[in-house]
Amino acid sequence: MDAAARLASWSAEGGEGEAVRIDRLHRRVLGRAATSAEIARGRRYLAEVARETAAASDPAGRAWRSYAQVLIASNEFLYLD
Amino acid sequence: MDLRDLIDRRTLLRRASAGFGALALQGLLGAEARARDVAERRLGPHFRPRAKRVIFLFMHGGPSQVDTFDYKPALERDDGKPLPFAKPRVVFAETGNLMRSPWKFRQHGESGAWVSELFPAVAGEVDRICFLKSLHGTNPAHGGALLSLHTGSDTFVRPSMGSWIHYGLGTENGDLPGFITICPTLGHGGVNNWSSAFLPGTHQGTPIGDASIPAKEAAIRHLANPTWSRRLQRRQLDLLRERNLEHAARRADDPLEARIRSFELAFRMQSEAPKVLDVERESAATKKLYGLDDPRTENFGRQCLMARRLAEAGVRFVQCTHSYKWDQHGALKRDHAKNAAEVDRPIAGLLRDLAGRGLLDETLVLWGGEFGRTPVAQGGDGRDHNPHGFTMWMAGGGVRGGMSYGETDEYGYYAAVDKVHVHDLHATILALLGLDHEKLTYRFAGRDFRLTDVAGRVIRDVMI
Repeated sequence: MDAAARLASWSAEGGEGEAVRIDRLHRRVLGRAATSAEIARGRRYLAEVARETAAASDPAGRAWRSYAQVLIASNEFLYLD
Repeated sequence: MDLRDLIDRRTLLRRASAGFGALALQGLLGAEARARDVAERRLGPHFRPRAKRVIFLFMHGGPSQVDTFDYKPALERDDGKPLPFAKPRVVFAETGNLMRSPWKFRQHGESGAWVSELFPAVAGEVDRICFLKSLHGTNPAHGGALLSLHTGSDTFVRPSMGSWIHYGLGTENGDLPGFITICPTLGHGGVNNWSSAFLPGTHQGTPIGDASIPAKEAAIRHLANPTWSRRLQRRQLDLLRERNLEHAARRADDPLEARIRSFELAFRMQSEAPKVLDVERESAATKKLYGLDDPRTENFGRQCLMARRLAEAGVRFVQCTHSYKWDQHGALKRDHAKNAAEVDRPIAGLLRDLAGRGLLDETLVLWGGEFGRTPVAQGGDGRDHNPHGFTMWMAGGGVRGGMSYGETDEYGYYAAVDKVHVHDLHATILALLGLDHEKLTYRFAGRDFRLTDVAGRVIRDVMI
C-alpha cells in the first residue's frame, strides 16, 4: 500500500490530466505506454471509486492509490516473460 | 521524489510473498467458477468413495514403533543382546544392541490392541483404529523420508498427496482452500511437501502458520483488509482480473491462472476463513476434549480442533504437523514421553469429536511419522532412524477399526508380514477416497505421472 500511495502521488507530479497520469503509471510500472482502452477503463475506474468513497476524505487520492495498487499487483508487473 | 523510492520488482515480490499474495495460493474465479471448480475439475471418484476427506496427523521426526504401538515381547526378553540378524547396509548412525522399551504395554478395547503407556488416551480409542505395523520406505534421512511420505518421491519434486487428492476430487467448499497444512515444517523438503509441483497451481497446499509459530498465533495472514471496503475490493479485483485475463490470454502459463484465482479465493476467504479457524467459538467442553485446557496439549490440540473445523467446512485434505519432535537419537525416555503427552489427548479428542458429530465415517484420519526407530540402541537412551519397519495408523473414512495389519520381525526392525510400502499406503488412501491410483494421472514432460509412480498396492483388507 505504501508503494501504491507513493506511485499515485508521483504520478500527480507535474499535474497533468487523468489520461497522462494513467499513461505515466503504465510506463513506470510496466515499461510500456497505456493503450487507449486501458486509459478509458482507468478513467472509468477512478470515477467509480471516487464516487464510492465520496464520504471519506480525499476520494480522488484514494481512487488513484487503489488504481496504482492494481497495477503493481498485476501479473504483467510481477512476472517477466 | 527519487524514483528509486517508488518500488522495484524485487522488493514487491518479497513483500507480496509475505503479504497479499500469501493470503491464499490457490483459488477460483467468482461464484460461477466456484461451481465449475467443485464440479468439473473433479476427475474422480473412480469408484464408490468411503472417505470424503483426510486429516493427516504428522509426527515429524520419526516416532518409535516399538515404544508405542508395535509390542515386541522378544525385545523385552533379549534386552542388551546383539541383534541376531544383519542391520541394514545403509544406516544413519552407529547402533548397539537390542534395547527394550522403557514403557509398559497393555491390551486395550475389545480388539485387544497393544498400546504402550505413552498413549493412554489413544489407547481408549483403539477400536476405531486400524494399525498398519509393516510400513516401510527406503530413505533413512528425514528430508528424503518426508518427501517420500508426502509426495511418493524422494528424488524429484512431485505433487503432494494432498494436491493429488484435491486434483482428483476438487473441493467441497469454494470459499476455502481445498488443501490446508497447519504449522508445517519448513525444513526437510519444506514447501515441497505441500506443493502441487507440475499439477495446476490451484491444487497446492495453503499453509497456516509454520512449525516455528504456536498454533494459537497461526493464521492465514492478512485476512482482513484495513484499507478498502469489500465493495471497493470487489471493484479493484474486477479491474485486476480483467487486466490479468488479458495478460494471460497472450500467453499459456498455468501459474498465471493460479494467481488470478488466488486473488478471488482470498477475497472470499475474508469472510469464511476467520470463522472457520476461530476455535474460540467451540464450547468449553470441546476445547477441553482436545486438551486446550492444559499447556502441554494446548498447541497440538488447537491444531487438531482447527483441523476438525476445516474438515467440517469441506476442506479436502488437512495436515497437522507435530514438528520436529520425534527424533530421539538420545533422551528417548524424556522426550518420547513429552512428545506423546503433547499429542495423546488431542488425537483421542479429535477421534471422539469426529465420531460424535458423525464425521468420522467420512473422514480418514491418518497418523504417523516419516519413519520409525531402531529396536537397537543408539547410545544408552536413544534409537536411530528406521525406514525398514514402522507403524502408522488410520481411523474412520471406511477403514476397519480395531484391527492391525502387517507385522515386523520379532524385534520390530524390518517389515516382515504383509508389508506396506509408502506407495501402498498412498494407493490405499486414494482408494478409500474412491480414486484409482493407476487412473489418477497427470501428463507432464511427455508422460503420465501418478502419486504412486509405477508401484502401489491397495490394501483391501483394511477397508470396510
